[in-house]
Amino acid sequence: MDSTVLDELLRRARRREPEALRRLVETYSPRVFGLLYRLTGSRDEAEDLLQEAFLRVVRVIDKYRHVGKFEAWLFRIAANLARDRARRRARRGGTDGLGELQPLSVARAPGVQSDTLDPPQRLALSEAKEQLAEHLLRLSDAEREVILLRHYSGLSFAEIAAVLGVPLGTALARAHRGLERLRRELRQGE
Amino acid sequence: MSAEMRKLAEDVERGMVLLRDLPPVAPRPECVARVAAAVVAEAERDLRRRCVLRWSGLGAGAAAVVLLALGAPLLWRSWRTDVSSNAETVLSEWAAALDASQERFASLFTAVPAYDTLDADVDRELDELLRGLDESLRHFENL
Repeated sequence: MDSTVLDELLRRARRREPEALRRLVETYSPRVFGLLYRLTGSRDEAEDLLQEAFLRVVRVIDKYRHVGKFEAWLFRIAANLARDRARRRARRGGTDGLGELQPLSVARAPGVQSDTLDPPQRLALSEAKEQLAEHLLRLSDAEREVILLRHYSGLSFAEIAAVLGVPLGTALARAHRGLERLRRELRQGE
Repeated sequence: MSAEMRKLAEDVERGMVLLRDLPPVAPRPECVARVAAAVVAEAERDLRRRCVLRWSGLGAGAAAVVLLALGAPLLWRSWRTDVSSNAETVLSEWAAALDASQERFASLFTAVPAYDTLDADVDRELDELLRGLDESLRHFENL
């Protein structure tokens, strides 16, 4: 979103204008949901967290000082909520931060014209993508978080490190380890 | 950034290409609509809370007006059950209700600045207070 448009939208959202709030939700929901879904592995949980994240935004928007970092702020809220939820579940003796895998609503990947492929090719492509998603869920929470924040938020690793409160080297090392594991797992699956 | 760190960053950025094939997922449209509705409702509640806080901040006189809200249910009951009540009786009942609820209001009011972390019970009670305020102001007009 253009920064001038976003500035205006945030100014109106601070005044609690319904239309501005709706627009913020509609604009950022897809990417925030993507992050939450990939972090939790559960559509229901991601939808629940999506609502929590935006409610949190409304409650604390006056404390947010807009200096062009709205996305960093929003994604930090979402990532923190997902992390808190995973911690609570782990304390209750659930799985380590991962929900039950639910069927994905698979849309076409950008740049891939899957409808031009024949059915077996399409199936293979779809399976490969599903494998990637599943391997991603098997990474450690910390590795997955850095990689997914980079993928969905568009923040730089320096910004992600700041969001997570870790040194840049730590964020990069986590991403590096996670990507290496992903690559290895995918190669083994071939 | 050291040369080593820069190389690591470059490696990682190259590695991120792997995620290009991650299937995009989208929230259901009804989910987005539900979230938007919840956000708008929360914003309205927030505005009402602010309104109370502003009034409270004006001093004891304004705070007393807010306190009237807690007496509203009692007032409402007496208003409806005793149509012959005169304004003096109603006001004295109102004042009694205020005395009884003053302590509760004080603790609620203390919790308000941290409302983003309010628990659900206090949150609900605050909402009731605000609803009571609306009603009591309507009674005021009648008086």
